[in-house]
Amino acid sequence: MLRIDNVSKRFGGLVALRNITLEIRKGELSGLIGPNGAGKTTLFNVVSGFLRPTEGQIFFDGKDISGLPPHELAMRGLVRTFQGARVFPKLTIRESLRIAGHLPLGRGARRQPVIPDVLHEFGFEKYADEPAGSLPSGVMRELGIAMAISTGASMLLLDEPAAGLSAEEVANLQRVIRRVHAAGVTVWVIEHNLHFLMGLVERAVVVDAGGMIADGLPGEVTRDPRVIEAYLGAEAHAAG
Amino acid sequence: MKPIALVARALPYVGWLLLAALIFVPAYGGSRYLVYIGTLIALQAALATSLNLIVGYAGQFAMSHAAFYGFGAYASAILINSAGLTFWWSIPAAMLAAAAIAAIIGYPALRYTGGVYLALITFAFGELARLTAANWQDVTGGPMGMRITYAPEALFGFNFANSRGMYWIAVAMLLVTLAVVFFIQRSRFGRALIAVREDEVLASFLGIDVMRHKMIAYVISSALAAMVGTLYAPMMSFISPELLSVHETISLVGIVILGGAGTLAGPIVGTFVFLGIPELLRIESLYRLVVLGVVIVLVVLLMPQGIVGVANRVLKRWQRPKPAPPPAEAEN
Repeated sequence: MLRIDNVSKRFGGLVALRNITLEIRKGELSGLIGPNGAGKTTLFNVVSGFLRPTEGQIFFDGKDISGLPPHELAMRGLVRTFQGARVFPKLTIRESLRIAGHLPLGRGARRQPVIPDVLHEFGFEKYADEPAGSLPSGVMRELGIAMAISTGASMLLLDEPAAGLSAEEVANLQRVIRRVHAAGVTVWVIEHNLHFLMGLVERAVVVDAGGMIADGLPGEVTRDPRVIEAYLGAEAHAAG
Repeated sequence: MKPIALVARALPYVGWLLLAALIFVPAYGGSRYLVYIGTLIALQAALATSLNLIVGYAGQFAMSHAAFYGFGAYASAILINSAGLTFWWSIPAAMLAAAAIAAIIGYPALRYTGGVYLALITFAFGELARLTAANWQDVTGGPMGMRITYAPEALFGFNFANSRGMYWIAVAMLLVTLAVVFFIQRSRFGRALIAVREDEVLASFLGIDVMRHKMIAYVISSALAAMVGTLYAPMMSFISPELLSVHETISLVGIVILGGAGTLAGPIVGTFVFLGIPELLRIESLYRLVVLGVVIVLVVLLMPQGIVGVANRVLKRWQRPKPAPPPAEAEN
């Protein structure tokens, strides 16, 4: 469904991504892990149209989407969320979801959301008329995902959805992600926290220093010596 | 339903009915002065309402509104005097020309997120337009301005050439502008504009073509300003380059913020306050601006959503059934 073909991204002399090649298949629930600064978010930024790749091509549903602006990608069904919780703080949940339903409501709508009534399915009724900025952070993350779903997305890129959430909120979020995946959306999650991902995804891609160092079942990649080194090295560095 | 909720529900309609009633006052009861003031208020309210589309809904600080207003006045006057158009045909012609210019200005100005570029480019365009009007002697009459001798022609057997006729044109322009904003506010396009105002990046990732939405809002808003300008010329019988001055735009932005940016009624309420306070106070014109300045500063500091924004919030609170009262505190 999403094919990344030999993509590199350089900022001046800094190589943020080095020859990344991988494919995410339709219906997968996969993770993207790696220590801080490994290039996870840069990869998402390049795939989601926020940045243009310096080299290489990206294909979505068989079509070249390299360098297309974000709204074009959203129209094709590829939608991302942002690190933390990016919502419209002054708008209510109801208003936000209505805005996000912009594409499916249009006359030229290509897709309908996989979950028709997100407000109900995500249990937002009791907050529906509250401004999004006043919601608990766990609900804000869920709203971010709900908005992405409302656009009729067929693939979601979630950027560190669990960062800073309590254990209970994390469990809720995992349930939401599973629910969305079960409804037929291909999901790719960036996560720094391995525990969150291990219980969730069926495949993990590991990047470090801009390059891909492992790709496979979550249980296997965490035993890969290069992955252990990347993580332990980073932790030892942080501890020092 | 609680009585207060009923009142809260009815109040907005009462407000619009009040406006409808006010519209008829100059038409029947009015002295010449009342008709003149009524026309001025209707034009100003229409102008503020059209500016609200780009400033209030799309959140883009375009500083070219008075320039398009003045452009409408000049373009219509020139087309009538030199090209022999009727007043009525000069309206769509001026609007189309303004829309084309807005599209040309808007393309470079609206491409970037962040209001500074837009404010600067549209400000520069406004000054350019004002200087053109002041210096292109042969066409515009230069800094001395242009005397307007034509009047709107009779239409459907109704005489529009006198001040009362022009008052009705001003009212029609206000209603057209209100209708445009009303339908945009209710539409998918209008909701997308609000998303653009709140967060351009998030909006684009939800599939909204931010540039296109800002552009359409700017073009419509500018064309409506030109429409209002076409009536200003015969109404005042005189136009001058001062009409295009950026001060006018800033007053308009003040009116929109005062009344409530991004609300349908805001610009109308703002206009009444802006034109009404000085009339009521009947003070030296020098101090009027001081009083208005103080009012605007207070509104921005104390209620940034403007008069109507705050009223809407209060009404919404009253409309909703009260949540269960908190447990009684110790009585003391």
